Amino acid sequence: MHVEAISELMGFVFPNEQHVTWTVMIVLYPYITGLVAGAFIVSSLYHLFGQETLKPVARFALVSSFAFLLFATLPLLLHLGLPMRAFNIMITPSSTSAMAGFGIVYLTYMALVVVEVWFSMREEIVNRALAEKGFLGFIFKALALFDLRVDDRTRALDHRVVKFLAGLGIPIACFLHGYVGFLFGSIKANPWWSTPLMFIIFLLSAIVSGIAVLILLFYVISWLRRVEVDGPCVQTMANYLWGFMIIDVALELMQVLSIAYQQMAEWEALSVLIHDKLFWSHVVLQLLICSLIPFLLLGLNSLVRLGQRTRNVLIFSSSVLLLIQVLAMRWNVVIGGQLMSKSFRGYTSYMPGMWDREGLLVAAIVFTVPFLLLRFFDFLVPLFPSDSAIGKGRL
Amino acid sequence: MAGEAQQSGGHSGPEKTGILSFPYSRRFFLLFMLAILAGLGVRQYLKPSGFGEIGFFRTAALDEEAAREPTLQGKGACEVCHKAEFDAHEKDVHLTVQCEDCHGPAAEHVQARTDGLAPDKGKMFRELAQANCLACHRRLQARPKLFPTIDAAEHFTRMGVTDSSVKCQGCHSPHEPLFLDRKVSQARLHPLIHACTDCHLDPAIRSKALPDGHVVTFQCKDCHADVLADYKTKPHKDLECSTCHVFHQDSEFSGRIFKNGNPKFCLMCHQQQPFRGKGSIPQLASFEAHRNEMASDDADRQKRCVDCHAEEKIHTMHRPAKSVVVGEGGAR
Repeated sequence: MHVEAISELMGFVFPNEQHVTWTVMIVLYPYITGLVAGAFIVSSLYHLFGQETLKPVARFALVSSFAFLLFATLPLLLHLGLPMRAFNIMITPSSTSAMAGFGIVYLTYMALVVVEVWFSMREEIVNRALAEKGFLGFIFKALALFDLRVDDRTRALDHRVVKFLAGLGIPIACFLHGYVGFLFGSIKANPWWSTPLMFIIFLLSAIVSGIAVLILLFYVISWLRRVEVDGPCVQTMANYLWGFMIIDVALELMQVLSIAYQQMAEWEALSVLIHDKLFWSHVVLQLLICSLIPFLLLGLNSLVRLGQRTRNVLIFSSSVLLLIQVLAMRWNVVIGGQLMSKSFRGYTSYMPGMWDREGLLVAAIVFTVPFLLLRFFDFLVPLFPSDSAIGKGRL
Repeated sequence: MAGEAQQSGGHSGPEKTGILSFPYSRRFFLLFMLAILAGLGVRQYLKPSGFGEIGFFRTAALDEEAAREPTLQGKGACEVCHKAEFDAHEKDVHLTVQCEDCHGPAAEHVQARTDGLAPDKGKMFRELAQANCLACHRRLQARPKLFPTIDAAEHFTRMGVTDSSVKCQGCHSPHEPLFLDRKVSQARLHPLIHACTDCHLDPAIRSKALPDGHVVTFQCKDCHADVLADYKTKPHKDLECSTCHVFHQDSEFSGRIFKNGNPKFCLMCHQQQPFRGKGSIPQLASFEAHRNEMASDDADRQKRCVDCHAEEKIHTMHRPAKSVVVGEGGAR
């Protein structure tokens, strides 16, 4: 196998670049982190900016953000040979380390989301505490901190806290995800990564993937509960999705086009990377299939008067394609950047294994766990408001 | 749903609710503060003592590092007892490879021998497997073209080796890989030779003619055209010049090129071996027996392989005058 891998080298590759060391797990990490930031933005659109049509999905978005956040660092820990060392960046943080900065931003954001989730779910927790008896009842009473009052004043306070945290959370969410792009963008030896645009591209693609996954979940849950999909809610999300994906894809193209148009020295090498090594995953999958088609479909959905059924097809398929688009983008950034040698004269290859320690199966499991956790959260307390169609339906 | 919750009578007026107005909010923020304090406490507890006092490390680490006994001894320590191996090693192309690179750290070994302990104490690593040699000599795209590398399967096929589990030492000596008959530093300096694939990616480029205006390159045939023409008529013709005249790169521009008449060098390919197929390469069961058999006097008994076989099998050793032509019509 070692020999096979070697035979796929092209040109001159430095010895430490033949083997791609950041693999599927490092692709998955910014992907899941992106879902966190995107879902949080949707939640804030309701809580902070009063986008009423998003009310049915607002709390679900917040809890999704929490579920993804809990597992965002898992791929990183699985990638490390000695995962316990990861905590050193928080025990002895260096002021000049971007990764240590991430530890602090991640912890802050986690604390913020936990507080916001608790305040936004408090009434539901109290209701369960009152409804349940025995041990489960005790657990819910403990979760409600043994104070079961709910009235307009408590609701007003909870709402104020949630609104404040939603506002505070936006810059932190931007920081959390932008930082991932910042890490890649700071690697100045690698022209495929080294651009200040990386920060903003990662952030926007995060928002795109976050909205897309919420739309997808909203549809799937509505279908599972056999209720009508809330048209205005998905339409609002689809409009935001369209807007954010346009800016995101425009910036992704701008990053490549600016290097190509300036004919900078690295373009000679990058053009081979794009046209040869990443042709299918970048040009065909990321740009042609998963960017162009959703752009047209969502444009049609936003600009043309259509029946709800047609809209559902357009929005659902666009969301699926955009989720793949962002995954492909993560792949092309993380893996693509390692395929090109720093010699600018050679390329290596990478094909993920199915059963490896960091293979596709492990990636699939890691990616599935947050969704199972969401299902468990919904078992604890209803994630959708009881006055919405999706909240009334049960599995 | 909210109606089921406990209502705390009639405070729904315009009264201002502060962040700590209710027991639950007070408890929550108390809990939150406790969590932060616990986190800081845990961090303080886990932080190694002395960390950050004089730099981004534990102060005690300085003394700990300074107190560590060196495990590597350097090749000078080996020379004291293993003079023969040391001299052979110093002469040949592995001279820059430290003894401990292959044999492992020698601290315990040296200590055990100094203390006069039994031979089984402080034993060095001796049983080099294929993988040990291939750690440096496996053919990889990234390795410099002039560094000797092999694809093990291809090498065995070429050498007629039928048992692929054989160790490299079956033919090669790690102490004197080329059995050089003089020191590397005494071998002639030679300019760097260019290969087409140094610049071009496609190996097929080697069979193409140089286009007009191509940058000047430096290859064997440019200076040694007559030797090469003779060589191409002999049985060894399919081997590259550098198979025997190994090039040992010294710098970006030059290296040493060997004219090696040591019979052991020829016997690396031509020694009969249990792991080599009979009909693959002409082989000798015993070089000494062969030489004695063929010799007619004492002078013959000192001859090397090339003294008898070069003219017929390799190429004429006595180069005609003006073999090396530099200038117009010569080196390109």
